[in-house]
Amino acid sequence: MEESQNEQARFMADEPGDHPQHVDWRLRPHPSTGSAPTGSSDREAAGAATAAPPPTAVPAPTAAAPKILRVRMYGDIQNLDPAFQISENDTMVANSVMSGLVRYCANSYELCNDLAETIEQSEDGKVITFKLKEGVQWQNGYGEVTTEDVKYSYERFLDPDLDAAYADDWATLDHVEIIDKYNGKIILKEPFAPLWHSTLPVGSGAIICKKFVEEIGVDKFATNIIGSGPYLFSEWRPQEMVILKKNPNYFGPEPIWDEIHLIPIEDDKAAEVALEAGDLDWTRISITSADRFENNPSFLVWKKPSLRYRWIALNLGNEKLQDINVRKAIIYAADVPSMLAAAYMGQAEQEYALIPPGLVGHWADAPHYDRDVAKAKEYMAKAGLTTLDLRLDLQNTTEYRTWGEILQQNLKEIGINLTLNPMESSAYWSTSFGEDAVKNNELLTSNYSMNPDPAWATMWFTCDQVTVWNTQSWCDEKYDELHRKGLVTMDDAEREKIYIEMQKIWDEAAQTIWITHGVMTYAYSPNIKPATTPHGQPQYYDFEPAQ
Amino acid sequence: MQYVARPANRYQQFLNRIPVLGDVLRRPLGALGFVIVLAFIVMVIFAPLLTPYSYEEQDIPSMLQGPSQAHWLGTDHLGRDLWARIVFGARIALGVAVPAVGIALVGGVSLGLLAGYLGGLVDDVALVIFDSLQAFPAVILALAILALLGSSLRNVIIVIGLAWTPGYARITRAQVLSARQEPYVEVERSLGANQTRILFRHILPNVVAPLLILAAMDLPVVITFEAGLSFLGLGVRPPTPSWGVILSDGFNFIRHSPWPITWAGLTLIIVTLGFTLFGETLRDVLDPRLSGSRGA
Repeated sequence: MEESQNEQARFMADEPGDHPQHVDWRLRPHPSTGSAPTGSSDREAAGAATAAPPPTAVPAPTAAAPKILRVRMYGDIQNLDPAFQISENDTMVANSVMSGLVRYCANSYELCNDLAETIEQSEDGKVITFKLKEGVQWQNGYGEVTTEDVKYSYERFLDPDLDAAYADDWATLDHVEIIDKYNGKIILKEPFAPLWHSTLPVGSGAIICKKFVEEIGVDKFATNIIGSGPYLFSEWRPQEMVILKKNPNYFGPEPIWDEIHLIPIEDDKAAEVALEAGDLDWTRISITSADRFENNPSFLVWKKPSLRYRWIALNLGNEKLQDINVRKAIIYAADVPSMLAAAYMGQAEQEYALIPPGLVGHWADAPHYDRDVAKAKEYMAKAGLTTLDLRLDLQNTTEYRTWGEILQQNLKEIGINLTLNPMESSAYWSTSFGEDAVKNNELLTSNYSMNPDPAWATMWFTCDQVTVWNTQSWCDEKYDELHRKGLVTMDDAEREKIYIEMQKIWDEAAQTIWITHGVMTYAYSPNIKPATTPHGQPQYYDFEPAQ
Repeated sequence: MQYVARPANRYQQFLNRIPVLGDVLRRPLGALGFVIVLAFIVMVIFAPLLTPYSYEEQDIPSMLQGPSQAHWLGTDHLGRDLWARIVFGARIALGVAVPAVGIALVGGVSLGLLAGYLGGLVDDVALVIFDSLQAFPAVILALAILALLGSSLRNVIIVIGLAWTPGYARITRAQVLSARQEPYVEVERSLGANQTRILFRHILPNVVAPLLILAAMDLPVVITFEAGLSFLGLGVRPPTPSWGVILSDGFNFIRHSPWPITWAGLTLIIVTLGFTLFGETLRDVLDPRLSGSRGA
């Protein structure tokens, strides 16, 4: 364990710009021993463990000026409700406004207590006992945070009327028991392996104000939130900006920034121009631009291995793709290395299965479907086809257009005419998912974010997700059964077997062209000291001015 | 003194034989515009003969190369020959501009004739429609319609045609309102000519000239507009080589290779300049009263 901690400390001390390719995500503290998470008591303590700040080339703002952090969102917010957040943009905003019982410490998978004064798990893993910090106030005068709010926040995920998108994050929750105003217990029907990785420290673990939500209703809550976190959701100018303001009554250390401005810019290149023009302090950049910013002394670059997974989905709900021979023909015809070379200038590695390297359940021996046109033609012949018209829906960015144009060329060689249908981001998200999409979609470029637990990848492809996020409309009962088993299995070795088995079942269905997990690459002003999770999700509340 | 015909005069004689175009070619800027437009049209017609490459043929190992003997203008991020994409992109530019302006011309003239000649309620309703359409900036209107219809070559043509129609309709209407007061129309009417005859035999020929000038001057604007829509991803679908798409993709790789954006930008500038010079000179020739003014 000590060696593991050293390993993690070494990773966390990496200078921005380094890219540890083979980080073992399993090295984080894990509650499977039955002991309480070894989080620090507050975020200040966590800050001590963060990476050393980069040298600053430009003086920091003067003390008199309001401290404003300007960061990019990849699109506008859509739904900030923890039960329904749609994109990382929602999560990034909500995380700065809301608190949970625990949260990830800055630049780390270690857990820091947030609203919890203490929190511990029972030996059998079914009971989590917590004590809230006393006197923590809701924003906007909604009173004190109590166990009533905790109960309301978590049990609503079980409410069939609410139909929470992230109900699986609380798959084994039985109820939350209120002992008194500050003490309570989370009672699980069965132990829940992802609880400390992808439930409590992230969106689904956020505590919301019962009184406020009941007052304004769930619909309005989507874009009108309060919390008990360091920043207030002050203003939303659609497609222009979200403004967060310092919460003067925050229970933790005084928030550093007077305001955080989150600006929606969909295009990486446009965001890079904004950064260079001084309109942003921090932005994700295209992986192909990393060299340029690394060679520019006015900026610093921050790279982290991504947990995201990018793929082209073959939709089994569409009659054209129901024959596995057609799907195999497409998979064998696809030239993924060329897509990586052209879209990412060869700086991203190919992925071969769902779960990324370093995470429990990564399938290192996953088969590689190298391009084989002859074999692809054989599968077309087996399907009794000489020609086929298909459509690829994609978000209209160079990255996806590049995938699409290469695949279009590849498929042409085996008689498949692929029409590319580039869509603006919101049109893509609104038309490519849902009941109509099950039959209408044919091929679809996809890119999902991920929390550091394998269940967070597998959960979107179960049978009950077919009309929601399951882009392949693929349903396999054995896969579902293993997914449920993985959620309640606390032993990592056992979980590893389960998730590899699930990926084998997935692979046999031949419904995916895997592209890459990618690398999260950010460029930023030397005036700030950023903080992200080890897989590169920004933690804006932990950003600091550089000293 | 004995007059000796010099070779240059043969050119003048040639120009004298082509009434309008001859006048355009006598003016240096008009001649320059004509040469560019002619070169553009040659490019459109003979595109497959001008390049050994297909515009969609990919060669990833050769991506983002600079100009060379093999690839005169270099290659794009998929290793496609840029000269081939520029040449075939000309087909898209003209293939959108001509039908789109044609739709606007036919639609605008028809509506303008009806509104101007019939007057009354028809005129009022037509004006409201024209005002409503023109209240939206063309780009916003195009974005809205393409979001509904989806992006395709056909839809881009329809959208641009629709966005440009009110301009032609307004000019036609104004010309008709003026023409219907002319003595020759009064005479026709008093001789018992019906409205259709008056509209199409007498008024229409008198309003055509300014509309053709406007159409000529709109072509470069529409070419640029189509490139803009394609740049935004709302124009033609990949791998069709619109100049706007070459610019958009080139923009993303500009730090690795400036050639795609350079060539596509230069082509767009030169073609737009050519059409503009030719259109303005044509206008000066056909209607000297408008000389020096831009647009209608």
